Amino acid sequence: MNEIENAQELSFEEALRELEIVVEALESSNVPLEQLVTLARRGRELADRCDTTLSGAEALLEELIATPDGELVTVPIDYDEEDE
Amino acid sequence: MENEIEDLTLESDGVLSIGELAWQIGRVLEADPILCDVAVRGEISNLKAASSGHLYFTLKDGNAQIRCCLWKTNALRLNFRPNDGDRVVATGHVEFYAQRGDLSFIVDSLRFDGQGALFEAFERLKLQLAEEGLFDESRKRALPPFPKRIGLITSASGAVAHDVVTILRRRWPVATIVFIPSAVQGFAAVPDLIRALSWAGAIGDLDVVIIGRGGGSAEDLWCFNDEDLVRAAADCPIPLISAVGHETDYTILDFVADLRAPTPSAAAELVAPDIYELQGVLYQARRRLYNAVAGESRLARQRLEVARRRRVLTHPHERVTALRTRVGDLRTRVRDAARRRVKIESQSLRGLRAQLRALDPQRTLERGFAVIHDEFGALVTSAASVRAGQKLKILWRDGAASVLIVPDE
Repeated sequence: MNEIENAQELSFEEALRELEIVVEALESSNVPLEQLVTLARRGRELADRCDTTLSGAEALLEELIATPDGELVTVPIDYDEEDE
Repeated sequence: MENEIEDLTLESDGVLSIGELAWQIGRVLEADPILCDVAVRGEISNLKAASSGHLYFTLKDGNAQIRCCLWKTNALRLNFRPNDGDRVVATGHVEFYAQRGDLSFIVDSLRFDGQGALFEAFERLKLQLAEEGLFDESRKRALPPFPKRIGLITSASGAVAHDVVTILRRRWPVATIVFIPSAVQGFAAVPDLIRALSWAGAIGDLDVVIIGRGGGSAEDLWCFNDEDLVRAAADCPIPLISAVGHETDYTILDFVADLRAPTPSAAAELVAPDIYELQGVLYQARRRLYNAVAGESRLARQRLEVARRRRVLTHPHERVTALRTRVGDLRTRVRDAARRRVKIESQSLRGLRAQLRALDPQRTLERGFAVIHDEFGALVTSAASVRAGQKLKILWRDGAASVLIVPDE
């Protein structure tokens, strides 16, 4: 079996997909009892990982500009200020 | 005006210099109420875009032609990019260019000669690009389901940026919106849009990019039908959403984009999932996790309980006692059997002994009989075997005596 990756290092998409697989597996009740607890813990970690993304900070707004040297950089915009 | 023309001073011999002639022609043209501001219908040919930004071309119809100039400032206001063969209506005035001895039509504004012509140009380009395969479904890329960085190419002044940002903040506030301001109207917008697109691709960390513009006339949106822009969009390295105008507006950009959104607001809905829905999905997943584990362990616990209630486990000594009883029972049976056997044996022994006793010669002696042995110890049971002089031994109950047989008299 592959080494289990730390859930927090997965992308949101990967974590969500694995979470669905874990839930399906748990519900199939073919899981040996000893693995049940491990799987459930994994499921909780994955759900936590997803929550980390979903409870992330407010949407950031940036503007893409070119420096005089022609380098592309993004600078944050304070959207609410601009809105006034 | 009349006076001014009459004021022209002729040389003594009544001959003008070329400069004076040119000047005079210019004055006449300027003074003409038609030539100073007129709309002309014709077909464009020999179009040249100078590096200065001015456009030079010839307007012609079946019978005549005239050289035209469209200065940069007016060229930038065009709503479409003119091409050779386009039927247009040009508005402007006629000027005489003295240095070249040339008459030019100075165009202030240019428009397609009716929607039919506009549509024709649109269809022509659309067909060509379709034949090249730029609209093929196989070219369409899937949008990332959970974009982290969303590029937004639109006007800095329009409402589109505000609408898109508002919707995304509500719907998917975990993404960063990278705003790439660009002109979005008229011919001049084309190079700016191409620049913005190339930036969106070059920055390298965008998951998806939206080109958005609010509604407008077909000519307002014409830049999104520009061949160069459409080709740049087809080359865009990241998934592209076209969101131009209203739902009923179709531009060629829509056909090459990976996804056409009917409006910029719709693009904001399409580009990202709804965070509340996802939170619901997560909540459900957690509940299912909990239920699965709780259900499994409840089942296991039930099985355990049932097992526990079995008598062997609740009364473990019963079995031992039963075994012990059985062993005791067996022991008793063994003992009894042995006793019975001994009894039987000893009874038969007694019988044998009685028999033995009955046969015992001693008992006969007791009754007063005697036993006679010869000298060899053999029993003498008959008188006939006795001879005179033979020594015999008589046994009585209480002792023995030797006797000598004497001859009969």
